[in-house]
Amino acid sequence: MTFRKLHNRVILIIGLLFIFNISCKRNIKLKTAANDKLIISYIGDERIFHQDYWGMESTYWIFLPLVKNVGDERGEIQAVLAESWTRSDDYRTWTVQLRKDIYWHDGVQMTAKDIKFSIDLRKKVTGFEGNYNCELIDEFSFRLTTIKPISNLDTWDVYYPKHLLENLDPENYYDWDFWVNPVGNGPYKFVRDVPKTMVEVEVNPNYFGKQPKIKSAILKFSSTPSLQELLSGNVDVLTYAPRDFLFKIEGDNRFKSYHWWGSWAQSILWNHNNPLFKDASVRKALTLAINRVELSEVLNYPKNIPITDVLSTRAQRSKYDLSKPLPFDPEKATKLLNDSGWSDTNNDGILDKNGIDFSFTVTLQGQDKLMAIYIQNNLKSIKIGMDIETIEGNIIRQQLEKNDFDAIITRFPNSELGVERIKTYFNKDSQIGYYNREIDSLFNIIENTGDKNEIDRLYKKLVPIFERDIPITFIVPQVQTHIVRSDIKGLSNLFNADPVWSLESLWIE
Amino acid sequence: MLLGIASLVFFIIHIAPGDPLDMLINQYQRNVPSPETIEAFRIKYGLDQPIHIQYFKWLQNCLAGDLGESFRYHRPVTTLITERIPFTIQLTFLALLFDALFGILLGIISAVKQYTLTDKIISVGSLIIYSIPGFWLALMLILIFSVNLGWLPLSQTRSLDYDLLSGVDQFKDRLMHLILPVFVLGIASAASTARYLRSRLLEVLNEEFILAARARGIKEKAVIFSHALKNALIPIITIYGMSLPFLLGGSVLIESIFSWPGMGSLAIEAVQNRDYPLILATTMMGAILVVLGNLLADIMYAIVDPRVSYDT
Repeated sequence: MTFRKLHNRVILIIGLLFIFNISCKRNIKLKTAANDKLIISYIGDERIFHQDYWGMESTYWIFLPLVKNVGDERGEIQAVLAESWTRSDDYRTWTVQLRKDIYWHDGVQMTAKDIKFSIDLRKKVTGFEGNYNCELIDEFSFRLTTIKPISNLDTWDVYYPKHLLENLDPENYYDWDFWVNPVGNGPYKFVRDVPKTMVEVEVNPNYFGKQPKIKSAILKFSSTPSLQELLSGNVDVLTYAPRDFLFKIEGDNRFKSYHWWGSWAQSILWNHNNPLFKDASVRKALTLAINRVELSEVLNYPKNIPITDVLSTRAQRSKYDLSKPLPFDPEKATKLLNDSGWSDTNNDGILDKNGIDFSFTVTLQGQDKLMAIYIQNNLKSIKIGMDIETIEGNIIRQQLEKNDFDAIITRFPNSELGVERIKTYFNKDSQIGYYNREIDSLFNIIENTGDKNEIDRLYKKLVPIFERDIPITFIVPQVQTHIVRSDIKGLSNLFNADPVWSLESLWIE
Repeated sequence: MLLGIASLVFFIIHIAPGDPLDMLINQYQRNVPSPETIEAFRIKYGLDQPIHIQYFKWLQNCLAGDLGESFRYHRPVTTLITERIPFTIQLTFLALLFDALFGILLGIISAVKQYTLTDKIISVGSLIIYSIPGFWLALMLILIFSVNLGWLPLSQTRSLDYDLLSGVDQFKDRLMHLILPVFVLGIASAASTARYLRSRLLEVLNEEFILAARARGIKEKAVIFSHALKNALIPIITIYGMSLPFLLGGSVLIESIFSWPGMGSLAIEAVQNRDYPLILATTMMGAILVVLGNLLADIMYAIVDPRVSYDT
């Protein structure tokens, strides 16, 4: 070998070692360590503060609702723009007194006219009636009339400054420059943006509430959550992180993850028109055979995430006022199945009855496949065959509408907010083929009730029916994961886990 | 052709199972819309009409230059495309340039230094690079140059303080953000160009007119660049014209990895949200690029090879 050849090889090996070394380099010192400024990785663009455009939590930095849900276990409502309110006995007419110390970021005082203007504007641009009619009483009070009774003032809609928008053409509502340079009334005010890259906000010194400790925040836009952004110190917060990121930051004390408990649940919808699932004790057996606690660990869910077999209201979930779920008990499941006439007569490892094998296909979206594989193994241990079919979400919805499925794993809206949709699963036109007169009538009452306590009481009446019938198996609740730098404080799991939602109450140690 | 593609896409997306208004349900998951609200949207966007009526209305508007309003963004599709297309053109054009510069250069070196170590390194290297999946290469480069070394930005088109920089710094900033995505998008096609050009050039170098040129005492550089390369480049130019839409396709993935706000990421969002007007518009853009690519290839072909004429 000539010296030149040897030299080339040595250079090549050194080069490869260098690349290998920098590829394995870990624990980079985080760059963004400002005590009062956060950079948050977020999906969106410079119109992120427009609620009807993105509908994201960041809207509430700039614009405010009348009231908001308290982000803790109390599950109560807290006044924001509204100072006080009264309601009629039928919960359809609400008279609201607005705070008098609210100023838009340009210094103009907010009045009830802004509320009416925003409600009317929304109706005009969306082209449908909406829930409210607003009638002005005086400068700072107004009356809201709703089509259906409501248990609380709306926590969702925010309000816009009439004086800046009234002369703009509603035809171009979504294209208004105002959304790129918004003037709101919230704890933060817009500072600047770099199109398709970021928006920056800073504390509003005239905010009527407590001054936030985080003085400035940047939303850095990304098409998908990027762990590299966090690891390289480019951002302090990664919102809506896929849970597999948690394995990658395990043991890295620079970061901490928080999990927000949503009102949806990953659920198995059994097709009650399928003879396999007609019997309630069979559905109970199937639920008993699934180890949901271990499954939630496999899926990297937080340890204390509540598992349930029943529908619940937000207040009940907030107070953990939930009945105990069926335990993991494969022996009891087998006994229930045997009692229902299912046994493995031909010793092929699958239960059968009257010559029919207990085998079915579960359809689901790709992201739920791990969950399905786990359930498949659970059911296999009690001799039930489950095939997995992965399809697109829209097709699942079509299968549901046509009742053309065995079982489906999908998100189910386990909340009083979606009663109109939830009840369609249990009425005469049930998509899952399950009609229960009692549930149907209870939902009809709930839909026309505004009394929160009454709604809670009616939901309690649903509990024994669900426990008895198990029309749907709730697997695990919906959880959104956010990863933040560990020196960011003020967040907690389940109810106060969203750093964007809770920005005004965060601080950095 | 454009009309044919657009019509085909129109019917395929409408026949495909699913409902674009499902997106609304997901968008408003904290405040579930009522069936009446969903129906109102259906009427607003004309989705309650029979498919052939929807088609003719869309065609009529399309011919008048109105590509409709995005279901997801509620903004004119033309505005959304106008906002995004400069980013994609920038990325694709520079990737093509990178491909042309490095692909042709390496192809020439490899052919001229046939069977030497340089030729072997270029040949094997380009084969390896061509075989590496673009997304993996992108992730590795991000890991090395952005996460670990911190030399290059790992995503987006500009820095967070872009608007506060001077003109020169803004230019430098844009350039830094372009390095990784352009490299990843252009390197595979450069490798392919290099290999293709090498074999083509070797063929040409063995032809009789090259022998004649050398016999006339023309310098080797002139033989290669003026005689051989000009002939070898003719098929390459055709490939470039055809590669324009492929580069656009490749940029879909690269844009997603680098959070690049171009047409690719817009197309992905459109498909995910079943945003019919946006899907149709982005597909049309792809079709226009195919036509443009072919047209450009034909023009360049005529320029490079004087025997080719489109007069008749």
